[in-house]
Amino acid sequence: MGKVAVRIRNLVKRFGNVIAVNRLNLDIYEGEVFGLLGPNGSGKSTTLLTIATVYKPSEGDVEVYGYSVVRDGDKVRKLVGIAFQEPKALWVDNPYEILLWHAMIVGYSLGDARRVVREVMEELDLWEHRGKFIAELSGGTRKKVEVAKLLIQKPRIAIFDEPTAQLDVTSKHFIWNRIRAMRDEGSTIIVATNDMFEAERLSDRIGIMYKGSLKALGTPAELKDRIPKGDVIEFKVEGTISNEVITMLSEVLESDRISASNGLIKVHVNRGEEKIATAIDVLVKHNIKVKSVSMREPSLDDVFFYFTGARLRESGDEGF
Amino acid sequence: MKGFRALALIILWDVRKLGRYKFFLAMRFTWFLLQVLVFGLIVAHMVSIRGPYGLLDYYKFYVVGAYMAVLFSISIMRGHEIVEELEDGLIDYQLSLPIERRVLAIGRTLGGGISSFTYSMPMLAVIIMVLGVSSLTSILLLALVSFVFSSGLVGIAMSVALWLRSGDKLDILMGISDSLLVRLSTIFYPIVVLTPITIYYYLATINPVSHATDLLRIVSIPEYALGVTVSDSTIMASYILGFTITSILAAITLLERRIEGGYGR
Repeated sequence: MGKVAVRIRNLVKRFGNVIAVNRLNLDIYEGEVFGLLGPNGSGKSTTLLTIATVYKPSEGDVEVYGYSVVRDGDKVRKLVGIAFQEPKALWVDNPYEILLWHAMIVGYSLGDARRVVREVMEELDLWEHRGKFIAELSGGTRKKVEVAKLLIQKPRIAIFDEPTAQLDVTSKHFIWNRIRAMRDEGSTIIVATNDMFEAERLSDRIGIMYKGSLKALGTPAELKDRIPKGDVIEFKVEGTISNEVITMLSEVLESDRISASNGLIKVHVNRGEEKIATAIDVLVKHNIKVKSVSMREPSLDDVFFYFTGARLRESGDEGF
Repeated sequence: MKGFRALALIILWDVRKLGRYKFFLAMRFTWFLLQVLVFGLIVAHMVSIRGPYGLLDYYKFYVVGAYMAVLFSISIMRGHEIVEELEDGLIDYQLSLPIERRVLAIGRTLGGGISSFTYSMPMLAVIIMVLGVSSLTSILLLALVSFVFSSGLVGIAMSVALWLRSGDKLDILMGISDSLLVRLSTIFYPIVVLTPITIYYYLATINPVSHATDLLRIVSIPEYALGVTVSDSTIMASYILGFTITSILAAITLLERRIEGGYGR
């Protein structure tokens, strides 16, 4: 792991009597894409907005390269940029004006601003919409305008709050590639999402937030491995499946969750990919013909369920 | 980014919205013309006020007051725009930008002041014509006083809006303050007629609206300098400047220390 870019310590954020973030401790490292996964209302956006100095911590602190969001907000803002969940513009604004103003306020000269805005707008297929009112644009196009701000700004810490919500598949892949390119160019990326595919596809590490707290942290593979017997191996076989075979399989696969019926053996194991070969040996030795083998790893939804007891899509609450 | 460049861009944020309120301004302007060319003449026929040095032309007194009432209202309206921006998340966006909060506060205040003053310019032009102000210095002074006072009002309106974070609460507070500040001032009543009502008199003398209005009167109709204003021109100018600086400092303090994003939270 590299240098710590964002250090969150005992962060609490209250809105009246509601605790949106509760004693959050988290380090985000320089040069990584960090995914913050959780349903609406889990505290993701509040955490991101606190890093971006839009919210002030009720307790605790966040440091960005050693600068406190409480004491050194002006310095933090020079390092951090955020693409909000909802596009920020008045309905009478047009995309070109919004992005040109943004480019200039983040430091471009007028000439450079015009050039970079045009480049990014063309890249995101926004150029043809440049003169339209924001109110006339589709949700996906508005979202692209919001994401374009960060592609123009190129901050050291780039925060994307649900960057591909409402986008079509092609645009999603494009945005993911651009986010990874930003990481490769030296930015540290923080992405909040409730899309498990996006989190897994994009993130080097993932933090699972639920009801204001961090429930799990690790790489996607580490998180999946932390589910006991999360891998499911299925053998389609021909031959008699005796109790002895089941016992043998249970021993070599270190699993007490084995079922067999109608020529199908189903085993729940840890690190299934390392044990398939041994299991096949056992079956062959007992004159059982293996017709096919398949293995399913746990999904991030399974991971989320394991750590929170809730399904991601069903657990939404009002947004924090 | 350099402070002045950022400041200019923040001012531009408000100024570039100038064209959005054409119908509102046309309506205001029409109403103002009616007020000045119809109601003002009728009221001036009915009202006769004796100042320390003889009878006052209440019509001239009234039209300056009418202009100040419009400038006050337009400036205070910036508070509603701030709430609208808070609701649309634009304040969150601005709070996240790589600029100093004091630059943001000063920029929004001055930008709002420029916009409000620009909105009021057609009305000021009417006043200049009606009162027959021909000196360029007087015209520039009228513009300067209007702009400085408008910026002060915008600073206060912005601070209150960010503090309350609610359109409904702001409506109530601004409605009350509009009623009180405009009525407990010399906008429509010369200070000499308020003297017998002690509380009213003292409230009017400390009200910045009185100072701004009477300063405009001194500049546009110099005969009013003769004992019918709340104070002398230097004190009134200092009062207005002090009010505006205090208002900007309040906005800076709030934005630096207290204000955060999120509508209705």
